[in-house]
Amino acid sequence: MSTAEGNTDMDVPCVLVTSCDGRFPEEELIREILGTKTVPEPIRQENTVAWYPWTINNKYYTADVSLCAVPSTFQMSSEIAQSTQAFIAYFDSTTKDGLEKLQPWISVVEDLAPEVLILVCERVCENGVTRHEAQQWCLAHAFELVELNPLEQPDEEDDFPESTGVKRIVQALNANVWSSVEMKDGHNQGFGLMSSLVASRHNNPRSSQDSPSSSLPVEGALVNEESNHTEVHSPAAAAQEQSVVDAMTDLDIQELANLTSGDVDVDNFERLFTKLKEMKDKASSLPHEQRKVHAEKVGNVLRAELFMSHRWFVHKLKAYVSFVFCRWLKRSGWPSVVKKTRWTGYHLVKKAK
Amino acid sequence: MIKFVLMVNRRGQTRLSRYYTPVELSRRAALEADVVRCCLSRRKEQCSFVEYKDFKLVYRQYAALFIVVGITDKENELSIFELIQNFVEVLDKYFSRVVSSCAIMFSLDRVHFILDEIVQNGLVVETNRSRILTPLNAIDKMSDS
Repeated sequence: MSTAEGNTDMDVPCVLVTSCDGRFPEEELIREILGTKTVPEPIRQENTVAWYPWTINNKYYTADVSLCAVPSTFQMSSEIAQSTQAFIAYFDSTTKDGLEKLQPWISVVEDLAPEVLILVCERVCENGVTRHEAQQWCLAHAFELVELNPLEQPDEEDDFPESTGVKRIVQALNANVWSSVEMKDGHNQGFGLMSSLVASRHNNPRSSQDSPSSSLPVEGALVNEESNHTEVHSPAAAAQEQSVVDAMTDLDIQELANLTSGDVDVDNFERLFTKLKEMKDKASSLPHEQRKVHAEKVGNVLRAELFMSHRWFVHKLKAYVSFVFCRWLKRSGWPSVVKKTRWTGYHLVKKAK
Repeated sequence: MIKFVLMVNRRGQTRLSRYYTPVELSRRAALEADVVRCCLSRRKEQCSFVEYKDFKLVYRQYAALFIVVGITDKENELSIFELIQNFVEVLDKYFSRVVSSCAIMFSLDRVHFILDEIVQNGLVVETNRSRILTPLNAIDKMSDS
């Protein structure tokens, strides 16, 4: 995914722009995508192929890409092919055979399989390529149709107005994960607590390899810690104690996370409670300050897990209680007050007036 | 009962899929492609309910995003149609008016979270917008602090 190191042109993903209409040059479309008044100077030019730099910047990421104008399949090189991650093709919709001119590109596109494929025209035309034809073509080749100047403007009153024209092209290019993508902070970490749980699970084996002393088995840690109680004044010992306690807590928390995130069954539940009791006993032997830190860590894990499961649990519990109650009613002589439903199995019949 | 929920873009690429009945992983791609083709090829003025094989599809388009829900033939199409609207309104509220393919791609965990608050086991369990978002907001607040 990350090709951030090395800044050669090869690493910059490219949006291949082509036009099958002689009256509409690729540069025109590129100018509109860039939103400039005039076509900027290309960063590179080889015969009829030109590269224009563009930085995509949105709420989630920034990515450097290049817009590459390629007039026809004859100008394709392996370099362009390797860097192509999006393909935009303009066609002339006013003539019946407008779409046929795209035929040579089909095999190229199928080979490259870019993430974004857009078919662009000025406006679908009753006498040339109709909307239905264009849409069928798009479905067959997995393209998206964008009209630069559609006949019907989208309804402004609509809560979710459809964007059209170049705006839609830019939007589609934004909704892609480019190989040069650099995520902005806060959007790739997921939930703080969840990721910290995952991290504690992934990091722990590694940290134990790095410094075997910091992850002694729990029994050893307990002994160590008790012996440390008397000599807590020496800073080295205190530091060591801290690391032992940390490692121990991390191990516990890891186990706790494993227990709570596994399949919910009675065994797991029992083990979870035993584990919690164990951890509480352990914590009570710690000095006051450390006990607080310990409690906070355990609390964080539990709170996260409870948030994830309590709604599910309450829902299940309610359903189960009403199911058992209704079944009991039915079996103990009042079958007329319950009726079978597809929601909870049984349902109380409303009192007849 | 709801069989699956799909979110696809206009090209037919799946952005989110959630199944409530077991479907083999290998069969999902083919099923999704077929279902999406079935919905995308329809014109705007055509009905949003489609009979597909032995079940039904309910779909709705929001700008460049299609939401397709597969349901058993005993389920009420209109209620599912409104459920889709409700789901999108919740997303809209949470992402403060920028529901796009982008938001879904980069916050997929949250979209799944919201969907799981609304639909469990193929049945609708919650429709109140603020109640759906309460746990998510609480978690956001906790991870911020």
